[in-house]
Amino acid sequence: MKKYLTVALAVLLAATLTACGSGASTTGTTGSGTQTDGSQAAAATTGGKISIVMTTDPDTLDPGRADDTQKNQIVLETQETLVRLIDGELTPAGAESYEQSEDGLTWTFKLRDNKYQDGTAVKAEDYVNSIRRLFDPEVNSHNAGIFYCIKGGEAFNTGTGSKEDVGAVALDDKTLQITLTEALPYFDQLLTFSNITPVPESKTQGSANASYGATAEELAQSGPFYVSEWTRGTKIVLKKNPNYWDAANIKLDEIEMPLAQDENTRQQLFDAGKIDLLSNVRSEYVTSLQSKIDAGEVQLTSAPQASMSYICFNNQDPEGVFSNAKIRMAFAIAFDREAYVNNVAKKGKAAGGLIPYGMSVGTSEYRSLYAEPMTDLLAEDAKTLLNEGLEEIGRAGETLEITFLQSNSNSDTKVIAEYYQNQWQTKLGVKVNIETASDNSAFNNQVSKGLYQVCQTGWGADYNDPMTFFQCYTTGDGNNAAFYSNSTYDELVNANKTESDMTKRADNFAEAEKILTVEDVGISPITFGYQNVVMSKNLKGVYINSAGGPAIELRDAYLEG
Amino acid sequence: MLKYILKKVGYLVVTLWIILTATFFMMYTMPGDATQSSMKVLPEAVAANLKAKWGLDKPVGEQYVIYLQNLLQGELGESYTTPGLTANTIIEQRFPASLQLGLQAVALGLVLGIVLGILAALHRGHWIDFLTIFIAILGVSIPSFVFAALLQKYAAGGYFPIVGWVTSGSSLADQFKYTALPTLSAAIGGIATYSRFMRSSVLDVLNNDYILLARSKGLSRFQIIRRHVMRNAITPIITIVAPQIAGVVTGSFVIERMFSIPGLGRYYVDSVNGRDYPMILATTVFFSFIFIFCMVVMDILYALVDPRVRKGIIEGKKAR
Repeated sequence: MKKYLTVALAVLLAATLTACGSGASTTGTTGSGTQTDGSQAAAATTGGKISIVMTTDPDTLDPGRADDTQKNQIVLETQETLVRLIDGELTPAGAESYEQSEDGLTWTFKLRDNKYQDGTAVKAEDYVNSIRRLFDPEVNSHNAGIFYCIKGGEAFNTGTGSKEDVGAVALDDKTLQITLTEALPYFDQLLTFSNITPVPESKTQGSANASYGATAEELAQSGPFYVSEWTRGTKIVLKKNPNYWDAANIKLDEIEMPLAQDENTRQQLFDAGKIDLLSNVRSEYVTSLQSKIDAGEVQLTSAPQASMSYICFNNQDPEGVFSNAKIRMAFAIAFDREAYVNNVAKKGKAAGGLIPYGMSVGTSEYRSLYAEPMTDLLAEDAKTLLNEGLEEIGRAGETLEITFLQSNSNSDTKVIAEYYQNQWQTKLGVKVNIETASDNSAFNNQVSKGLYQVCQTGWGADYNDPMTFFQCYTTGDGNNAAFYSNSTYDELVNANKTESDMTKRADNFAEAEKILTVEDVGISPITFGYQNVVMSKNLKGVYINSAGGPAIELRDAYLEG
Repeated sequence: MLKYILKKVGYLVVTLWIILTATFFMMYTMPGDATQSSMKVLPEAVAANLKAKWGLDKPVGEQYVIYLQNLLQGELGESYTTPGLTANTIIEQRFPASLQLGLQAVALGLVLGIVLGILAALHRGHWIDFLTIFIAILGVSIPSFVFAALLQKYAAGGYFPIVGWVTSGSSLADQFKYTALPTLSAAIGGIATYSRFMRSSVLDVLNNDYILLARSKGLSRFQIIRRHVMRNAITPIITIVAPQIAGVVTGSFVIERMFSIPGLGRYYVDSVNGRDYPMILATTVFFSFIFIFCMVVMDILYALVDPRVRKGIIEGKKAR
């Protein structure tokens, strides 16, 4: 018996010990992770290696399917878009020049002599292939709907047309022509998307069409950098693309992107000097770095982010409460937005309109043309509005009871829900129940069916034109979670899809904004996105994009000193 | 004995099938589906197309039959959220890291736990006993992610990296550098549990008459511990180590997330949030398999180790 025991224990121990040593048989050369100090000694303004974090683990690097900040960040540094946002300016990139036809429906792009990382030339057909893939039912790009403005795109996407009918053709190797269904004045803004970057058709034939982008090896990469190493779940390494058309002006040699999904871990990486840049940091962390910032050891940049959060009222409330505009107004203004930003959200800035800072109409910044419209509304008395509203729905004198839908079970959203509950109960004298959706899928499912009264959600710009926000609240739009509907608003927004006079456009937008947020209060914006970015002191030439392009543009970045 | 093992394996298969079926139907009662997991709403055509591609447009019963047919051929299906990768590939690529972390943590936990437990029992009331009790209380009460965050803050950043994991060709030094802190974080609970169990188990054994006999025979202290105390005291550890192995190998997703270890743990949570049905089923079935497998191995080991259990099996056979 005792022998058995010894044998059993020996087996157990042997098993664990061999497992401990697994993978240790070969002695590899792993230079990464040891030379972090070397970056300090890099030669002035050229060369060098920097590190930034990935906040999520990308599922795919297929440009056609990039649909979140993290994937866009990687794809846009490794692929060449037709135009690029350089220091906030739309600048020809993959295209040397481009022009619009008289009617605004046909756009012609003259391409540069660009090459992929393997040395093959980028051709106009490769852009055509990527545009076709955007609508390809085999690819199922989440962004397809944004590009339904391209002729034949919607038909191919919904299975009623063919890929040959998609309005993108290669006139020759270096000339690309795109035809639109309507003359979008901001179409060139859409060209900063990851989804319209060259993918050679040879890479996406047969079953590869659906699986392209699952590994780094199969990618054709046309950007200033290329993915040289991709270890899922751990890190991505970008290296300078020597065949890039503007390689002479790309200064960084390498960008290491370790994965750090935890905010706390990211801060420790930055504190230890293991990463050179951290974006979207909370104000508490900025405070903890204040002495280093004052001493010039850390750079702090704050910039608007084209996103906003809002209270979403169900305008077709099954309980018949939030279908009343006065009641919506009362709930929208019953609390102090500044206090909410400082004590609850701890990110962003208080919002007084639909459109955040940093969005352009033509060449002007929209918010500098039109002030936030909600100022007067916010000064009104919420309680009076509530009583008027209750009278209108025939429930005067009643103690109103409503339910707030919390978007998931995280602690952040819990704090937000309880804040609203507390504020509305004390300021309006109503009873507020909190219902919690288990996660985003459950929340979106419930909201899309209209089975809620009020919740908080948000929207981030897809491209740099206010249309990306206004579009959402038109009647019947898939993203119109508020079920808001106003025919004047719809007319103004739809007119702006093709209005080419930028003064007129801005005017229409301002009017629509006032209808949505002040007159009807279909939704009520709470915060505008505003982010703090901290960088090591010698990292220069970084552009922080508000809408469109990679969130952090590193194309022109370099290490100083 | 062979019959006993076969019976256990039979139970394993039936249990897995029950878990699989229950998960399958419960999964469909969750509100929402994979096309609704992102903040932005997909165009209807894209959502419908995706559902057709994944077979979600068919009745649930039919989907279940299709799933079982594929499963019998070893196909776990393509992940919804990771296009181009099947659940089989993801498990193949990701499980080794989880396994290495888990086994290292269990090994470290066992060695330290057993040594501390024996020392504490032999020196009852001595400072080493109090130290063991202190470690045990800390290990049980501090969640591993807090311990991991503390290690990251105070031990990492210099020699030890804050995040990252070894690749297949890493040197022994790199293996140590990258895995030491995550292993320690994952092992802390085990150290506490094993040392407590070992301590009380050794104390029990020490009170037996055969120890007194061994001592009166004039055996050395070391021999008594090695031949009489340890062999008898270690049996209860086997009982708890099997579920612990399964738990650590499959359940260290918090540690994996904090140290950016390319393990399987992430998928356990993400697949549910993303309504990635093939991955939910794959991870559930795979983890259940490991858990039940460890339990079966434990049952068999127990029969080998403990004569009373073996006697029970043989008598049971005779009775029938």
